[in-house]
Amino acid sequence: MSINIAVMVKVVHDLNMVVGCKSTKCIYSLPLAINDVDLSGLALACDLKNKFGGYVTIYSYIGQHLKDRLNEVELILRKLLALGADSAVLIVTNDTYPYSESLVVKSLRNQLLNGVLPDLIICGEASIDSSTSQICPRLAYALSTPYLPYVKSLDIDVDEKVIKAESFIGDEVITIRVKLPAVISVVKEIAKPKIPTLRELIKAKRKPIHITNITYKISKPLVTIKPVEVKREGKMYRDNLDDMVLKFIEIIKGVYRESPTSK
Amino acid sequence: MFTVKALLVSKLRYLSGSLIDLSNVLGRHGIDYRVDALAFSRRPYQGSSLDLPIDPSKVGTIDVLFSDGYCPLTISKHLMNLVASKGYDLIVFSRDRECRVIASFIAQELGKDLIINVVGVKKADNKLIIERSGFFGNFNLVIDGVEKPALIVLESTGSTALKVLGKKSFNLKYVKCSDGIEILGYRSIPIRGSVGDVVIGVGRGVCLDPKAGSLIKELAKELNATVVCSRPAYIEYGFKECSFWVGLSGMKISPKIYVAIGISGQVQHMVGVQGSKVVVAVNKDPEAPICRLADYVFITDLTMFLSEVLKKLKGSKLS
Repeated sequence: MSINIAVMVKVVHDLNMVVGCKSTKCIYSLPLAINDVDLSGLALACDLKNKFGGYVTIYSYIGQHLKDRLNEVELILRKLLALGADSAVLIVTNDTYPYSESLVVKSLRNQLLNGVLPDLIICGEASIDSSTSQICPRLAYALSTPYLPYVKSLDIDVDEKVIKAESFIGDEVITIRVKLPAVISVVKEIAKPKIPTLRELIKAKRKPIHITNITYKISKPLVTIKPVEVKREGKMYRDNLDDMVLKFIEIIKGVYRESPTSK
Repeated sequence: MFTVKALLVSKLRYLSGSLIDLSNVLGRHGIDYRVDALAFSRRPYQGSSLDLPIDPSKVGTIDVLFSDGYCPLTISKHLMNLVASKGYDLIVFSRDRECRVIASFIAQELGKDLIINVVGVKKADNKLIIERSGFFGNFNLVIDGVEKPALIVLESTGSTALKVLGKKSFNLKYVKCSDGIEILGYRSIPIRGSVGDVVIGVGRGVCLDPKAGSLIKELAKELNATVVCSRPAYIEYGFKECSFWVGLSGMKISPKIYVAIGISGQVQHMVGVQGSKVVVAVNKDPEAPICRLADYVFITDLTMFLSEVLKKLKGSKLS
């Protein structure tokens, strides 16, 4: 028995470089990257495929604001295919950032129901740009399949089509068993993404990327994005340990003077 | 005056903190509110009333759902009945992971977007203007014309010491889980729900230094500070003194001072401390990202620095 897996990945702006950006134009010009926890989801899917056999499909969704960067998005998907996925589906819509979760879920659901529903659908726990953690549970709800959130470890019985997972739900770890198909969101620690070899990178060029264009009738509220000024002093102290210790204590004392209840 | 009719949904243990966040966020824009609460729990609660950290006259009914297991779908169904029967302007969900799942189910059922990290709510005609923080706190997104009921998750406002302003009795309901998932076991993780004015953040740099751990413990005691961790320090190294991890997938805090020790300052962590009034970094790497994001940066050996600070602090009066 083998296992067919769908992995949801999000192409995001590399927000490690967002510091200093004062406009949306600046954000939108940042390099594109894959949402890092989605990489762990893909690594898990590839590990399972290598163990049990099967097929891994990547699903991704982009909006209007990335349409002119389609080549970059494809390049990212190629890298993911080199990590072991077999094919990719890219949904391109007239939606724009911040995406409407309802439309993302609708698009993904329709694509997933286009063929045979995968045994396992994997998402990262949150995206680096929005961190809403919504797509996966909403997708599970829309597909009427069980949902296991924040999975940190997973065992599969492929013959029985059952998974046993540990979910890290904040103040508890729960151990759950469900029948497949199921949707899971994973935490970063579940699997370690590998670095593709040159051979895998070349092989990935021949793997299919299906691009689907969808135009929605969109009626979203107006969203204005404005920079937040977080002013920091930015003072650096080094070399003289005594001076540094005195300065540190002076800063701490300043807080206690303002708020005598602190100690 | 415009009065918002809100329903707060929260795990029972986070209800007080969520009420304070609600009061802070709505209060910031001078919005009057009245809130009903739906709390859920798997642990028995002794008593029939709850301590309230906000003006009791603003609190309507409190329902506590006591379930026999982990079942967000079952709780969502109960919640849907409540939402359908009352005309709320806002459905507010607490920030915890379990509540996020319930919020997503409700959002999907209602075909609405769930707006997270909300920092402000205003009224505009018969709709709402909702402001949320985004892009690691570097930008705010102002969403104009949100239909009621708006589904939101509040940004943590760094609620600290909870003052009891009154008590309210609640309606207890028992719920039988019917999510169709088999629970094999639970393991509790000790997590403290709120932090004080002074917070020490511990990163991988501390975990790699065998002496630094005990010095952090002493420093926390001296400063009466809460110790939190970056995600690697919490998950990979399981740093013992940590109350919880802070960052994108963890808690967000807004203390008066955040002392980041051995924390590199990756954006995934910094988004959780953006609301801190003062950020102090102690790090041996002058090239670490935190050096660009803190108010005061001390480039030094952690153990040596902490030992000297402790020597000077012992016996001294801070206030």
